[in-house]
Amino acid sequence: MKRNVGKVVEYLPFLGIVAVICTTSWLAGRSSLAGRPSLVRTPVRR
Amino acid sequence: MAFDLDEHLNGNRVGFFTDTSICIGCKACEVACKEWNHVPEDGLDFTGMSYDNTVGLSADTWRHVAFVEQRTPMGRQEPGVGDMDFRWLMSSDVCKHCTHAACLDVCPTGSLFRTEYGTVVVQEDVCNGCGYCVPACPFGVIGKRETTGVAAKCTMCYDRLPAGEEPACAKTCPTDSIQFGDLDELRERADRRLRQVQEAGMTSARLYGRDPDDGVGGMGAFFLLLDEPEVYGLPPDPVVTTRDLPSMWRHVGMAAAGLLAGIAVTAWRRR
Amino acid sequence: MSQTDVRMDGSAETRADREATPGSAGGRRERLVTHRERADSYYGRPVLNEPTWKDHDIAAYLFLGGLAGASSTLAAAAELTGRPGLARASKVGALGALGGSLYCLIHDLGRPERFLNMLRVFKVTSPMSVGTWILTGYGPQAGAAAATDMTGLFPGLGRAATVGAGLAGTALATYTAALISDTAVPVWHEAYREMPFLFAGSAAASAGGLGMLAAPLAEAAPARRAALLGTAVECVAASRMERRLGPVGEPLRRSRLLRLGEALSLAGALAGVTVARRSRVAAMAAGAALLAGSACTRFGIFHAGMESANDPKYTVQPQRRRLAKKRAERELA
Ligand code: SF4
Ligand code: SF4
Repeated sequence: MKRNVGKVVEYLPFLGIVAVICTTSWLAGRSSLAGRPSLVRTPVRR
Repeated sequence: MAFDLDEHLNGNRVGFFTDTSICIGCKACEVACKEWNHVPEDGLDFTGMSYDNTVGLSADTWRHVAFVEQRTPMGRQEPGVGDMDFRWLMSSDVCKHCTHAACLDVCPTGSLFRTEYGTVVVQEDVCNGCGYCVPACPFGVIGKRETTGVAAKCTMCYDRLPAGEEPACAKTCPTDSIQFGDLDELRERADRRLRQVQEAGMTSARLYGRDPDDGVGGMGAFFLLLDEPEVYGLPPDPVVTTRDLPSMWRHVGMAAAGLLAGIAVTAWRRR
Repeated sequence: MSQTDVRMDGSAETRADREATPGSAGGRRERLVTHRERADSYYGRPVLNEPTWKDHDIAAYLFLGGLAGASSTLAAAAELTGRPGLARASKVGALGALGGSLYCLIHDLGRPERFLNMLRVFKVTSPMSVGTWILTGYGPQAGAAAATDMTGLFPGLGRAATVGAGLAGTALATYTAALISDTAVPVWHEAYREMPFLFAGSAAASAGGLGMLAAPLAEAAPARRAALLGTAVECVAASRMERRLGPVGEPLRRSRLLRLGEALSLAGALAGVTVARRSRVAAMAAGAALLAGSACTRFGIFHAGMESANDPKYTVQPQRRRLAKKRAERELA
């Protein structure tokens, strides 16, 4: 039982990384809908 | 191969000739190696594999004596165990210090290097423990040491050679089963010895790793075996993995180009 | 240098002990010679030492490296064809996957603090060395591509970095095949012809999956097509590999992870070109299936290799066959 728990824990970093990739990428995809750029406004050049 | 190591070293290449036909399985080589090289203890287990309790070469076993029991005649000898034929094969295995050494080829830090004696040695202070050399070795010799995190294997006593001393295992071997010396000379000696053993009735005797044209370009540590190599846990026809590397890179190149083209095509259409 | 030459008397005529001949004593009584079965291993012990690589690091790296590389390529293609949403999602995804790759690679080292020792040398004979340099070239570009896109700063530089990362990404996604094939592990080594294509397909499928999951529906068409194409290539390469390898391919054919990976990828890819074209939720589900499928494939390949390294028959038997063939050819000649 304890061994199994230890085993699962070893995979958590990987699963965490994949979750982070999906979330950030999803947020980035959404932010593009609001028109780019999103974080910093570049002055509109005329 | 374009690069001829033997020529490059100008006859300076040293090696081991392990004549298993006179090995008595005393394991003095294992002990001498551990002591001289400070190789840590790695478990004292009862394996049930005849007298073998070190199982195989690893980061913490640089000489390994194999014990094989067979119901087969030993030449013309009478074993004297009733109605049974019996022979006991023993062989002290070690890193082969290959001419084309896969471990050396794949090491990404340059920790493994070829010495002036033609041997292959790990630099403990450079190795970062990536472990690539471990699956690269076709003989299962090199390993990653748990305690230090770096790779370790036989150095052919790199620190003894400059002092004019032979490696600890060869020095201690009471029967001269492990012979150290100039590789060319050892090869000649082995050829003579093979003839002698075969004439004595051991027709299954053979040299292993002596041939400079084999898959690893000949071994710096080669053997006289009394049976097939696989019986002793040795691969019958080892090939340095990097022999196929040019073709591997070509295939990788094609796949990379294909990936680029494929993704370009998928993005081409508007919808 | 001292050599093994134990002689006390110095006379060449006297036989040294090491000239003792085994089996020469003579006098063996005739026995019915029992048929000898051929032992093909030493007590069933593997010939090779087991790779020290951990699946949650190195198999994970195979997946993340492929995802990063192919995502960058997809991002470049999307940017050049006017799909900023897909481009941005892919760039950010690639950067995340790159970070994950580095974490896994460094975590697997025996001495992580010596990671930079990899940069001491460049060796084409070591795919790991080549890969380190690919990462060194790719990493900053992928980082710059994502950063410039998110901030809107330096668009020209961002464009150049996007294209550069897209090109380097193809190398990153495929070199990992050479990385594992350049070992003595029977399954990995023997499969070196199909492995790069399998990895390229799997990488494209995962990048397509991430694109479907993250990008707006209207822009995700290339991602859907990349997923389909990648999955097709992956499946064809895998089945060719399994057939060509013959007996050595047994661990591949037996692998449940590989079957699961194929099923997930196929389901994701097919959903991608059907329901996921209209429904955001379906697109996300299909994308997740593709990502999971690609990960299963990489873990499956990794474990099949481990299995082949741990069983001496996969090492010994092909070599014996090779020797027998050589012998037969010599006799014919
Ligand atoms: S036997 Fe293995 S560890 Fe020794 S030199 Fe050859 S490849 Fe390297
Ligand atoms: S573990 Fe050390 S010696 Fe082996 S390949 Fe990696 S850096 Fe080289």
